[in-house]
Amino acid sequence: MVNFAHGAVGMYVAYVFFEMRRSGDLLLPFLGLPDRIRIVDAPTVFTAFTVSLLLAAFLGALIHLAVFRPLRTSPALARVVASLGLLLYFEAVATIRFKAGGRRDVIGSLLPAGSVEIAGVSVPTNRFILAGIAVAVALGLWAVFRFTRFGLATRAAAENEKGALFLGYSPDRIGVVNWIAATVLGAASVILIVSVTKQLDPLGTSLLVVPALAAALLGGLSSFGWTTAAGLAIGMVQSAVLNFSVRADWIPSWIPSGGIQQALPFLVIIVALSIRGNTLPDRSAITESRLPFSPCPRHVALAVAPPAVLAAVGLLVLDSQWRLAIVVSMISALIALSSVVLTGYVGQISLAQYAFAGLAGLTTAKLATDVGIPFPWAPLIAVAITAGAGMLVGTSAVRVRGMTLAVATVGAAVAIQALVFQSEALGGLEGRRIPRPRLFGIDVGFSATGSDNFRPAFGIAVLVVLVVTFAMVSNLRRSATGLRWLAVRANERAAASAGVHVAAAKLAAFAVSSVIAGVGGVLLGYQSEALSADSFTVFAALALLALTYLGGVASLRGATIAGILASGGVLTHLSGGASGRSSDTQFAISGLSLIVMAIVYPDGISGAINRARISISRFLSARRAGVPVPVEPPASGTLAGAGNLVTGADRPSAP
Amino acid sequence: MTAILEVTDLTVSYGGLNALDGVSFTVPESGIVGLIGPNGAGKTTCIDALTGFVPHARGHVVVSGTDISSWPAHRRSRFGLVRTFQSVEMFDDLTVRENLLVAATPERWWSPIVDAVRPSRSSRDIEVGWALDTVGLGGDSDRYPTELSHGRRRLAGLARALAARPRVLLLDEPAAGLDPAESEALATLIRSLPDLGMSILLVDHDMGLVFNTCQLIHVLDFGRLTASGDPASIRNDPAVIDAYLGREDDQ
Repeated sequence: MVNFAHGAVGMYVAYVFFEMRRSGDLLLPFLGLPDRIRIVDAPTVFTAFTVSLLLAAFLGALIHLAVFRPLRTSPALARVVASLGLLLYFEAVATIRFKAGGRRDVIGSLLPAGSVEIAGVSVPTNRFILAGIAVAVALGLWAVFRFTRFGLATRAAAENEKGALFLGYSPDRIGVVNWIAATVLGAASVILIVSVTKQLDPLGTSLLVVPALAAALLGGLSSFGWTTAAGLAIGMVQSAVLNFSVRADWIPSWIPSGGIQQALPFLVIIVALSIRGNTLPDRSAITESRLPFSPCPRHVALAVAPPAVLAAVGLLVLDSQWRLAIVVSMISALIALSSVVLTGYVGQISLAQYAFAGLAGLTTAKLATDVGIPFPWAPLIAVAITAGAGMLVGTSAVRVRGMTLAVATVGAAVAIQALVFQSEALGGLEGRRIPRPRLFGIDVGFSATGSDNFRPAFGIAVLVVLVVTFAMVSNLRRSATGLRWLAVRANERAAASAGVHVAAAKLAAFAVSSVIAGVGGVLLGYQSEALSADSFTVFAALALLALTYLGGVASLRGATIAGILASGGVLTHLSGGASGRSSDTQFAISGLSLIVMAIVYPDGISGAINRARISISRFLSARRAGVPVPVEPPASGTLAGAGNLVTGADRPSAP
Repeated sequence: MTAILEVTDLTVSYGGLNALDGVSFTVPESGIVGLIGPNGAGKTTCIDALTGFVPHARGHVVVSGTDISSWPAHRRSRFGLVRTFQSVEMFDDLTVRENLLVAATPERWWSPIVDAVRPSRSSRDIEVGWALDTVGLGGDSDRYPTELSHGRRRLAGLARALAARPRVLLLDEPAAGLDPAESEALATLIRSLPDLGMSILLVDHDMGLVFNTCQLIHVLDFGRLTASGDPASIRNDPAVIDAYLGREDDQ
């Protein structure tokens, strides 16, 4: 189990701790319930720490029992999505509860100040204490898991849950205890780290999980010693690099000084993975249960026409704000489509799709403004560059799969953001303008002056791009290439034995999907006419992947639904006037609904629609014929969960 | 008869343990060769190593005079060295016919680009139809593997291998879990394959199947070949009886 929300939970508890130190109130993260509980008037550090960690323990147990335990037989993607849901939820709740933003004023130091001189460099004492605590905790954990029956039982349950059950251990109880321990430790570390760095904000603190996962991957997700060593090493090298790159002249000035530091965990992950992984999983590899069924699009024209016509009519008839919402939905659908190709068809979980979009958008801006390349060529070159970047990230997918790949792509996204988006030459924080596109002498730019400030011509151009891309993806899905991709998704070993070049298939999918995401990014640039690093955050990428999963990650319709649901899109526009809720509440609600969907409908809204259609048609034809009809292909309709149980039982065990 | 598959000094070690230790044998053109041995003898490891699924296998594998020892799995398969799996391993999201199309359709690096514009779907229907008819699954072509009985799913796995038009077909326990009648039908099917232009390496626990179909049998024990010969001599080899078959009255 890899939990992307680990940092977010820690972040929330850290907020709780510092808020409690300030006001004596405990702030609970449950929307709809009372938010403040008065504990004491002036809590000591010890009281606040204890209460915060008790809350962490409770949250850990709750998350395990309510979210991840029901998902333990689901595909890795379902668990990634659920943990993204948690991440979204805790981000939003922290923002709502603490009116967030950095709260340096509240953050008091917990560890003694002062510094020590080592080899001419002054090192603050609290860093040593922090490192000492980390080593001590690691030693303690190692001892517990090495020498106690509980540790043995945990390792047994991680290897084989059923076997542990037969030996009389309850995997549930073991799971709860481990979740509590992990959450308490995570929260305690975040509190300590924040007290030293004095930086606490919902997103940044949550992303502490990235270097932590890099260290854990280096430890093979199993060794406390190596993980601690790796974590300490990453931290030290990061600081050293920061000091170094500020001073060194040979590093090109366009690389942001903090960029190398932030990109480092990703580079570590890539190196670690390329040393460890195999290009084909070995015989004993645990076969995870299946991803949602991927329906083969049959009547493409019929399926694409209604929403396309609807969008076209909307663009021409409705008012300017509607036009904006439709355009945002269409661009989001395009970026979601890139996830459908990569994750839905080939089974490669990528959280870097927005990074690809941003890369293409910012490169277009750079080429169009500084280099002066005219319209159709600047975006084309930018998309080609993005395809290359996609394949580069894809090389890590050749050797790793599932959760590990998801971690690697988060790292890639963070690295692209740190090295490219924040670079002054490319994006920079202040943003960059993109000249209006002009095709065959026609202005297809978006904005206009006057009350009617968004022009339909741009919307129609986006719609054409969208329809063409959908048609091409549907062609791919129906062709031999699509079959090979689904074969890779289903079973890499069997695919290789059927002559499929698995690595090439993955790289091709990364290329195709980053091209699609890149086109989306370029359109986003032309839509907003200015792009900055903030246009493409990791957070936005997580949210869109989650929405795509919600829509149905393995089908074209899923991308359409994701586009409609996307923030700023059609649904937001519809509900925005009606409910008037703040967007943070919306984030919190979408986080929760993601978790619920991942558990209840693993094949998303699109799968639910398919199922409904099948049962309706079965019902109708049964009425017509007067006899019960044979069951439809089970794969198309089954809940992934139930379907897996059946397939698992059917599959002969090796003699 | 010339050898279509020549294996020389095939060695696979995990840690200090040799799962395969200098295994050498040949499969003649249009021959059916059996590979038997107790559990853990290295039979599946041998197929894995021959077809490119073991990263650090040593030794030489020559197919039709071409040394393919350093080739990756998919290239060996395209060259005609095709395997089946003990646990079938169908692509459950694809219909039986689509499963076979994956194996039958050649792949080019530009295929995704061409397919996006003009999807190539049914160019290999002849191979697929032939493979399905050969194993007798013509009627199930549009069903999903999970809908098939265990026996028919095994046949589908075999059909997928046939659809790749192999020169050498490596069968990994094709009779596992089949009832005697199904096993008998499978034996007939396997015996007919050399006439269709392929050579067979058969690994199985089902002694009846191996003795019924193979002209030559190799016995593998603890990663080494301990005996080789025709079915009659293997059946009577005292070392083989001791190691594997047990005494007559056990059977």
